Amino acid sequence: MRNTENGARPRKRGRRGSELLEFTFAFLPLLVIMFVIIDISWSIFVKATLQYAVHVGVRQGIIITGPQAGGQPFTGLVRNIVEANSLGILSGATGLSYIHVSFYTIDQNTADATYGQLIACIPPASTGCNAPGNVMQVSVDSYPLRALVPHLYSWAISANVNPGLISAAAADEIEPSSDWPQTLGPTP
Amino acid sequence: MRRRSRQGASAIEFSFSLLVLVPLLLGAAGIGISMLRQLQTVQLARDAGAMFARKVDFTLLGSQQILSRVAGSLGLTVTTGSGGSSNTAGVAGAGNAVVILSAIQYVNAGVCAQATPPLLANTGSCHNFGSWVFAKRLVVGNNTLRTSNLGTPTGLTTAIDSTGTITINDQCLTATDKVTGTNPWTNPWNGSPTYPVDPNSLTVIQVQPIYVSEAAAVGFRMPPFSSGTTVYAQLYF
Repeated sequence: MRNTENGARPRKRGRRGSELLEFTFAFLPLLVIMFVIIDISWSIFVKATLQYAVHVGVRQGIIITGPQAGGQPFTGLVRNIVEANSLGILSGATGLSYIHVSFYTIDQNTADATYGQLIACIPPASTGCNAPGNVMQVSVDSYPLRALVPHLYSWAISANVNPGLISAAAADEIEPSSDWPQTLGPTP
Repeated sequence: MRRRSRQGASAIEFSFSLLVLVPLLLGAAGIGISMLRQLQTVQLARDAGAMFARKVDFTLLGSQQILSRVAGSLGLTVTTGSGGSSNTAGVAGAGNAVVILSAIQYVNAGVCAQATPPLLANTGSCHNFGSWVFAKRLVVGNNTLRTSNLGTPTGLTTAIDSTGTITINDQCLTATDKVTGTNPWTNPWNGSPTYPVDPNSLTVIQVQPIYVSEAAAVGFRMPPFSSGTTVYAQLYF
């Protein structure tokens, strides 16, 4: 190797670690893309699961009879059905707190004398909210879904760590029965 | 020979891979959200149809609000027109979704006999004898978004009332009240109903009305991965 004018040998620039550095630069955006894909997939999965859970809760809830309930609170049974079909997403007391069961009935005393008005049935003011013919609505309200990583939209503002809120609802008319559950339980 | 620097090669190679990865990401998101909207549309149609078949009155604003709640992010906006619904042609609904509820009836001798005056059980007297007709039609939401696959009852002598009911006379006599389009509830081999029907029977209950629930919503739009095509579901009860 040729010496320089002052007789010193040129310094050989080290390439060790450059691949690692470049891989790191490439891996960071790749990681972001992966997290975004997983986040989107996860939120879609949760939404679909909750949608299914409330659907099953309504369908099973409208056919529960008094003997089947065995004296247990009706809304508690429905909420347990929803929880059992939520693949663990709504497990525990916290998960249960997002599940709401509401009832609607026709109020014949409103101005529209012909058709009445569908109103919320709120116990204990109105008894028999879960009577056949009323409409039962089961919903999961504002379930907080946290992202895998905080959302960073700009360097100028701090990362968004607020969870996305997911809701799902289903409703159906309660099936005719001469022996519907008499113990309602808390609503909504 | 001068040795070319390899610095930055990985970044360039990665940028090429991004050309594949980013569309993959956007495509996954677009297809996923579209599937979710389709799922919600089916659920909306299912819930609406199940309640409609059990005589829940969807002319009530409260009933429509329940549908709106079930629709969730689909954006079903209830209207407060005649009877709380946009069942008349002139009332344009709002929002990004619509629910079309129809009760269809097979016109047999019993139905013809209910007309005023009673009609004979033949197509000369009771024009729609032996056909499926609309007995009820209700539209909730944006009625400009999509029309029913079954057709739309038009030219009725008596306008659809606030409950969405079509008179027996219109069911028997108005040709434009007939159900059009494909009739999946008929036997595909001979076009007759899937269950034994005697059109000459005087028993109306022999042929139960079929309740059809259709729901449509604006699709997720993110070209070119998701074109925003209206999602649609049709269920029978």
